[in-house]
Amino acid sequence: MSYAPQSQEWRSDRALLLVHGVGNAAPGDYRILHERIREILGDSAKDFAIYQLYYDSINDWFTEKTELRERIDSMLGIVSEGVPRGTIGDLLSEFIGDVLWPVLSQAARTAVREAYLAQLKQIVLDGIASGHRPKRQKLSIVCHSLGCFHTYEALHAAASDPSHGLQPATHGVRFKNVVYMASPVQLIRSVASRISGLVPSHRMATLDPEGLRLPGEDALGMRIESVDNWISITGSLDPIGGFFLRRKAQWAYMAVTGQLSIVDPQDGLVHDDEELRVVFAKSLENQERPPEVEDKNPHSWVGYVVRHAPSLKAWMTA
Amino acid sequence: MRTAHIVNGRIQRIATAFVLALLAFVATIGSTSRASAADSNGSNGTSTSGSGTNGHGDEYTVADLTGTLATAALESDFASANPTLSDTLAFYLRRLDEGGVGDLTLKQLAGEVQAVDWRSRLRWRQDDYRAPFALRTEPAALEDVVRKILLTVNLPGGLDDHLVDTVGPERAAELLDPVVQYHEELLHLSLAESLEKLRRYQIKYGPGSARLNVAETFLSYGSQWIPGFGPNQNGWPGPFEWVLGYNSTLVTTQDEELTLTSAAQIGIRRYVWSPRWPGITNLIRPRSIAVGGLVAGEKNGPFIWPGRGDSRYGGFLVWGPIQFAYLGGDDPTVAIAHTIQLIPGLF
Repeated sequence: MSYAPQSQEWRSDRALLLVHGVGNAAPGDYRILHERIREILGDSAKDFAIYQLYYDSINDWFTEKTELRERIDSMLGIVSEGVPRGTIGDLLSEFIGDVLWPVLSQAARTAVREAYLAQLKQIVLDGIASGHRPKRQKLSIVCHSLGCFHTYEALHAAASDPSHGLQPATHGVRFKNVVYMASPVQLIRSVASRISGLVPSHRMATLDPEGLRLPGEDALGMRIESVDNWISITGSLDPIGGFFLRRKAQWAYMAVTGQLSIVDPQDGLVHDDEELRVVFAKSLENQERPPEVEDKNPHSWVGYVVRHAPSLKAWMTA
Repeated sequence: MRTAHIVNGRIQRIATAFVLALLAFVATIGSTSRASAADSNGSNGTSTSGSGTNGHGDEYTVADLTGTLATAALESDFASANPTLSDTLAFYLRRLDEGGVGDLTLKQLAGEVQAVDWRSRLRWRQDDYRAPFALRTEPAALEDVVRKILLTVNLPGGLDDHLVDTVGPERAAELLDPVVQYHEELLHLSLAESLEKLRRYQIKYGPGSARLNVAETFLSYGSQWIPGFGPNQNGWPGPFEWVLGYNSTLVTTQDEELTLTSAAQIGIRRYVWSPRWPGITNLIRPRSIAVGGLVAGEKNGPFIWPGRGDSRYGGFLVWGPIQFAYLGGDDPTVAIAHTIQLIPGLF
């Protein structure tokens, strides 16, 4: 079945896009998250057109055609050399297996990026159709895990390529909030840099030699950034977000100049490291559907959303 | 034995003629595909086709756009509030007026702008500005002028912000309606282009596409950097893919009996993007066609090593799910096979 972006009528000038992370998600998944977001927004929820980006069907094309993921998984021993092992290393290995093959396959990466951009275009068009010109639209994105990587790439492509009609200065398309939850962007940058000769990197913003930065457009002597509030939230026990057992790893933590950085103290989630290992292992049990979102999991998307409910509401409704 | 030779010879002549006809047909596909859709080198043919646009940009012309913006700037006294952006706006509105494009509808304007590829855009911006008359013949120049006008409207402190502050949101929306309609047309074209890219990715990688064996997977990975194989700068997938493997399911005739033969093969598969092609059945309208060379052992048979005895050389053509092959040597023969992988991931 062909990819088709979600489309809906706007009830006001606000739209929110939710972008999930690793997992074989299909339309209808992440219903709990959607419900929690609506609860958090309260009465304001009716003012939001809430979209969800599902890109796993595209990932599946590449997986099935090449079985590349399995082949890369078998190489992980080489790639993850020097990466902390044990509890965290296991999770990291699983995660790297999920993210590395789209990083190595330019076609897989580009196709997902194109689907993401198509969804953004449809969102802006829905806003226009509902009487809100792009410059007056209040757009927000909340992304999680691998979804942060695709968000980072898509927003940079949108800002730099005029053919998408999504540039912040020329077209007035700007985002009020982009909230990254457990972003692996820096982790991917570090891992991909170690095998840079193997990564087809053209137009890959994550590997920009100048480093990670806010997407923006240079115009008439000014730089106009695409995002007003660039927020990074991770947890002290979440390795995907750059923390290894309460210690921040500079090589894995996304630090973009201008971002609001929030680190959740997550010690209260589990009693000890053994329980943490069990929680991670459980979250990885079933690769055929989205990870379990139990509140104890430091990487849980719902967990991040619930812990930051008041802030999320304030950012989204400002 | 003599009868068998005659029958085999007739089959060979018919099959050879068929294969040659197909090869000629394949050769024509490249040109028709290029004509009907974007190729691998960055042109974006779908963007100018007008398909997939649902905006209202055919209600306004470029002259309406320039006229309305000039009115908006005057009505709100934009010059006093932001002299720099106001001068820039006036300069580029004049360029657009003098450019002889006033009769274009905004839908046509969006089509012209969307057709500009990154190379010509870069070249034009490096060359900076030339004569106004170039607008009619040089889409990159037109795109540049339109972009500058949009910037003066959308930049912080630009005409949009100023209008909202001075004449109010409703009048601002009215005055900016042509700008929004142009943008809407551009987004429709761009969305159609994104979906067309995804349709091609699905043809090449999605369900029903050729499955790659281990060797082909690694060859494809290594070929991502070669134009035509990996995605290009504009994100269009390359139409080509390597065929490399060992085929032990070629069916041929020997002594009036059907028999299997085996061959190592290398070639190139070309995916067919034209919407006319991947249609009702993959046999009549295949999503890909491949050609290449093959080498077989001296004798027919399954799992015969290609280097065994006096090797036979030939060529093959894959038409959707069917492979036709010709093997030379002392006793030339033709063969046919289905392209399914007997052992997934291997051959």
